Amino acid sequence: MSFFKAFQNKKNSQNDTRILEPPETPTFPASLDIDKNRVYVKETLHYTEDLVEKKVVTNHNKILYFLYLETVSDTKDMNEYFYRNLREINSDEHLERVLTDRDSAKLLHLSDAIAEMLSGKSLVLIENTHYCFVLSTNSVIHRDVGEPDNEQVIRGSHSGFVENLSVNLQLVRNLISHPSLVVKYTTLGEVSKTKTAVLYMDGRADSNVVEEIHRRLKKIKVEKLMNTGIIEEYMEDNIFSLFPQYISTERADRAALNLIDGRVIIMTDGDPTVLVLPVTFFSFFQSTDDYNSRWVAGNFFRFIRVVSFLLAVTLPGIYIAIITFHFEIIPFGMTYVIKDAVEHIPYPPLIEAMFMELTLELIREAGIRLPTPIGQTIGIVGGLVIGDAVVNAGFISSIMIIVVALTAISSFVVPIHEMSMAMRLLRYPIMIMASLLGFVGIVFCLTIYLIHLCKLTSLGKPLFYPFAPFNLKGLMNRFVRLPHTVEIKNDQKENQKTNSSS
Amino acid sequence: MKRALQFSLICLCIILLTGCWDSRQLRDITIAKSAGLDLLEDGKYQSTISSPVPKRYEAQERSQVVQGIGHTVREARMALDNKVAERIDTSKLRVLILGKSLAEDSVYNPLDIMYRDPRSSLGAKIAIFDGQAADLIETKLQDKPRTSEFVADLLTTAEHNSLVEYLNVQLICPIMFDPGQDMVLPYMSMDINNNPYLNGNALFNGEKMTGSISPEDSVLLFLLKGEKGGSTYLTEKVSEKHEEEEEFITVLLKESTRNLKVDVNQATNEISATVDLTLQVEAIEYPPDELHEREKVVQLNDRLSRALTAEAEQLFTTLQEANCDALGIGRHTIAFHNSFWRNNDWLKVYPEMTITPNVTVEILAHGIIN
Repeated sequence: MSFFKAFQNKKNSQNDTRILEPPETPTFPASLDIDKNRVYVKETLHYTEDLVEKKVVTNHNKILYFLYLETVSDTKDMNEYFYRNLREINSDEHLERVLTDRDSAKLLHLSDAIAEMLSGKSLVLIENTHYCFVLSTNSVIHRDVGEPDNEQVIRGSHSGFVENLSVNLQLVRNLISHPSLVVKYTTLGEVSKTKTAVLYMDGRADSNVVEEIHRRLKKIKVEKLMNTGIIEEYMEDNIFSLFPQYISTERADRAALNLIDGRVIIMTDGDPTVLVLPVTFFSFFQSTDDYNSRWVAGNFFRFIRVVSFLLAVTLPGIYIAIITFHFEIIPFGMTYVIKDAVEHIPYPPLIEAMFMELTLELIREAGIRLPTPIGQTIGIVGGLVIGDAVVNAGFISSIMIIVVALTAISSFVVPIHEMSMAMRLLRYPIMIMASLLGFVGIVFCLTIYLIHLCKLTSLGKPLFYPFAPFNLKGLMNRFVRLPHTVEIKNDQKENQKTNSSS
Repeated sequence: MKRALQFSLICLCIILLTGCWDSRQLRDITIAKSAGLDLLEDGKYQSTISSPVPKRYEAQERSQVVQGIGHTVREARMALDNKVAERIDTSKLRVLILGKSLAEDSVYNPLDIMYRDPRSSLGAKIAIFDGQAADLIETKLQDKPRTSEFVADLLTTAEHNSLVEYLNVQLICPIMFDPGQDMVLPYMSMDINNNPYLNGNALFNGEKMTGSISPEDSVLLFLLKGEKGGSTYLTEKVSEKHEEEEEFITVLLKESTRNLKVDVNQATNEISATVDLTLQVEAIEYPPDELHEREKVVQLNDRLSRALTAEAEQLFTTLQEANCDALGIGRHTIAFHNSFWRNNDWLKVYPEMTITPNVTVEILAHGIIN
């Protein structure tokens, strides 16, 4: 049972006592003795070899030391003319003015300065002073804001987030130029010290949700590299659920759209994926394409996605149930075609289906990380060779191949990756229950899923919202993609409802 | 804790594995597509089923035909099971064919098994065969689909053309047990070249077959019953006896209204029925073609009405001889003249009563030829 105890996380408990730990490095006030300061810096950084030290002597014989980590700093323009300027300085006032002009900060503690150096700033030590300066010389590496590969759209913005937090914030700010867009920074990760931003629109986002997010963020204590994957587990209300309770996206326009809808976004530095919270079940079936195409077509695509969800989850189960229990429901013309196909399969339909579904998962898993040319080979070997050979050999019925192929295609239709992962897992319990109890088993399983969905919350908000609790106007607003000119007023009621439920 | 885990595992198994008992794998079942039932001379039942053979055994489309004999239908079916490798399942049955000898004995006895079995195919078409049903099932048709499909499709088309009534195993049950109504089932025969064809309808009195009518009469019968299929054609001789050339007209039925009236004469304790049938038709074949002339149309209307009325009279005689109350006149009597119904034995009254048909035909259109 100790195994289960390990899973009893306390993140949802209201126990908020935060342990105030002493900082890792003891404070060290800048000393008047410049050599002592230099030794301190070098010792704190364990004589790392990318630490560069430059000595500059000004006109009035002040000795300055520049210390920076060459690997994270961009010192090109400093090298070009800044040092020359410094040498021409005649007085202390002049020196201070020159430094202030260069976007710098005056620090009294060297220990604080070390933290700044690690993020790419240069430390300036001045002889006979009890303070130091840090100059912002951060070098920024980021790629272009190209369209994310896994969330492409036909029409609409093609810009996606990158690994740099400030670029990402800029993208969002460009889309929403409204003063109520709030950014709150926190630093997460014991080792990595990753900068994390929480974005929301004041007045639109539920303040309780924002508060709850901050409360949960404070509880994160990990030694690993910080990324959204860790945050999302701390943000989920139920980590055992197969259903995702957040949306992760790399699209700037999707993030902005969700912000306007009153959701909160969490970004971390170094990760192009942002988290959208809280979500409802039907947000997973929405794509920004819906709002960019004509409304009838948008509704049709949305309908197709919901159907594909049902297909991907139940189709193998339905096949098993029919072959094992209920062949009466096959129409007259098809009965003998299907009987022909399954006549010589040597094992029960469940094994047949499991074998084929697992083969599919293998092909999919193998294909993800391979470069495109080899990936195609996997597609051909997996899809054509195995698919054809397995039927010819008589291991799997041709109907099963159709079912598996349809299932696979359906599971790719849903635009959010988390949901399609969930769909892949959801079908296995249904398959097992179908082989045990037929349609009764499928209904049994779907009922459990439905009960679970109705109970599930995302940051205290009901996940299955327009259906449970039921709200017809909410349904019209969220499930149906109405023409942009039509508006169903529901805001007040919705706010009341969510306030009372949270 | 361990004990609780074990206990819950056992409970889960008990609940979940109950279904395995009922599993019927499609590959382990022989699906009967058509079945025939006969009454042999020694009073035993003979059951014949035909099931298509999966293609892997044979390149050509093929069916297997098996026969079993027993004292009850169930026993006959068990005998079949002993002759087939897989389990026989009748849930996809398309046609059930009953031999004439069996139909003349009783239709309900062989059907009892179908009503009791929850999985049996109640939507199967039912037909009576002039002879041994086994002969029809065993027939291998040349250049035609499998016999079972052939018969089923034939009956479906006939329903559409008002040649037979839309009936299946489920639908005949209430009619069979209705004292005020009798059923009429499709009647099939085999010609000299062993080709099956629809030979009209079998007339029933209760659960026993008592007679048959021709396809031509069948159409009129169903019109008199007030049932009309999608495309109903009537061909009638319209020339008078003294005319030299015989003239025929084929009409397509557009609209038909039937009015059945049952009268009881309290004084003489006699019952009589009047059936008014108004047909609105479109002439689709009439070679002399003078249909644009009003007098001609009126004359044709008159002749058609007379011819059909005469035919209907003939038809009622046949029905009364067979004691088959296909129109449900008894139903009307139960509803409107209940005391008469209770005081008289309908089976004796019906053959003696007067039924007056009155058919009016009106040609509405005469096609595209002027």
